[in-house]
Amino acid sequence: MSTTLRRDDRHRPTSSLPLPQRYAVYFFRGMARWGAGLFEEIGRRVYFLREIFRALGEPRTYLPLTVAQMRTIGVDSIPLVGIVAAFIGAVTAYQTTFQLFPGVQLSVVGWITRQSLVLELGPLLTALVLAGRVGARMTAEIGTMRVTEQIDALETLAYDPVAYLVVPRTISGLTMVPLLTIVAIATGIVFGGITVLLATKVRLADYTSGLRLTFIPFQIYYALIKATLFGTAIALICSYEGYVAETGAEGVGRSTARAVVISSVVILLLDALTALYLAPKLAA
Amino acid sequence: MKRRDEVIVGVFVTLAVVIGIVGTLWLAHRGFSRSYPMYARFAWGSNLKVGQPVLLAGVQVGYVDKVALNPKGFLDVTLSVDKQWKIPEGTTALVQNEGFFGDKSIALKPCLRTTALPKPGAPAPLCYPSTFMPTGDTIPAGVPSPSVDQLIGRVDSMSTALSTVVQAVRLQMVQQGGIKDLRQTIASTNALVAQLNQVAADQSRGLTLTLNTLRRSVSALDSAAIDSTVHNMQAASANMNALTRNLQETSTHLNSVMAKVETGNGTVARLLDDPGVYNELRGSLARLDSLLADVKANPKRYINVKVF
Repeated sequence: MSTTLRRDDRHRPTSSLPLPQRYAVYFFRGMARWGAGLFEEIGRRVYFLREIFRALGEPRTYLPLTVAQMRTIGVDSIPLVGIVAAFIGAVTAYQTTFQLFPGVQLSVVGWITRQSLVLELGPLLTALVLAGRVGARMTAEIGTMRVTEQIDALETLAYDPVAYLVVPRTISGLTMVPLLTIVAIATGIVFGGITVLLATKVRLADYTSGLRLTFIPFQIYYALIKATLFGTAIALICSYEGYVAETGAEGVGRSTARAVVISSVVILLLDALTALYLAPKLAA
Repeated sequence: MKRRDEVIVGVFVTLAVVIGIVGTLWLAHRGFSRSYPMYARFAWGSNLKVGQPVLLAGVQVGYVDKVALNPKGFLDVTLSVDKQWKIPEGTTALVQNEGFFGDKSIALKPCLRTTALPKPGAPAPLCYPSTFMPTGDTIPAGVPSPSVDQLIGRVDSMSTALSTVVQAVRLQMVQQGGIKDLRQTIASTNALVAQLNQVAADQSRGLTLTLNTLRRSVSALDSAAIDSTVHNMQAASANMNALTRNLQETSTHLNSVMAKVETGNGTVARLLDDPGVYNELRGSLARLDSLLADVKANPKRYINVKVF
């Protein structure tokens, strides 16, 4: 029995093939489409990045708009970030106090609160909160401009839409999120101290002693590195999703939801990767 | 509006940067409390980390600033000591456990040296040096406290000894009938106690009877006769008192006489003390003897009886 296909076989419709072969064809065809789609998405984002780098050469366009975006992303987010960090710090310190068993030094409360806030909760929760508040707004703004053809109008007026819309948001994201993270960490530590002072038997001296225990400045740098990565990811992903939003209000909504989901997942992935590469350097 | 945005963003950025820098410095102990470096070198310092406390006589005076393993296998530790504290000369440093969970601290212990040798068996007295270690000096390592492994070893040896004792007790008490003997001893003791109780009860009964008899005898005595006897005894006692007083007076008088005699005053004393009297008296007696002898020999010379 010959295994060589005849010329006619190559043009047979898939539905006429036997069942196993038919589903095998469907499977591999689906995989090929998924892979092509994945690489297409990656390629589009790379092109988008290239456009951003190219647009960096037009500071006259984006610099005046950057300050306004800094206010929107940074200053206007202080209340939300502060509230989240205050509660996280207070609850972490309070819960830690009641997890201690006899013999454990009370300064452990300050140590765990600081490590939790500096290394993980401060940057991560700030980024996740900002992905919801700032990222969704970013996508909706740019997406609305896309579906109402304002971006096309900018191009018609010889404005670079990437320099006009995306670069200010990206610069604001990568500068404001680290600063907001510092505010979040400080707020969490202060409210953690107030909570243990008012609600537990832990003395302020124990708490501050624990805050300073095994501290090295690289722990702050680590938090800032993560926050910078998270802020950049939020700005890039959310801007891109808005920039490529599909037509109609539904498309904008879909893009917004996708932007928040993707940026949240990417933030978690970046968090894991930074921990994988930088955590060994955190030992005092 | 745009200028207002710039001002607000500028204020926020400045505040955040200041909070970050000041907070980092505060957490890292730098910039607020003035301190100076000291150094220590240890052969072993597991779990020793930056930020752990440095204690002098149990009081925190600084913190561990840096821990580095040098190529020779020793642990070089940089200590940051607050400027208000100085390290006395002769202090030793060691890594000690802080709590049960592997926390460490650097314990600086004042010296135990003394200029005078302590007496045998007496603890070495603390010395109070007047000099202090210079800034940046290396504090010598002291004798480390026993590790958990050593403590476990000691507990293990104690456990072995205890097990041996338990086995010996079991051998004596169980296999060689010690418990049986003990039970018999307890039973014998119980019987002895019962007998003693019986004896005590008998004695108590006899004592009660004796007391009753005594009470009856006492009640049978004539109180009038006793009173007269007592009066007589009181009178006799009074007489005895008077006699005693007289004797005392006589004795006092005699004492005064004797005192006069001893002092040489008075006739008797002079008679007693004057040897001339004695000699004259001896001469007089001698002459009296010769006179009597002459009287005996020649009575008529002296006695001439004439009747008419």
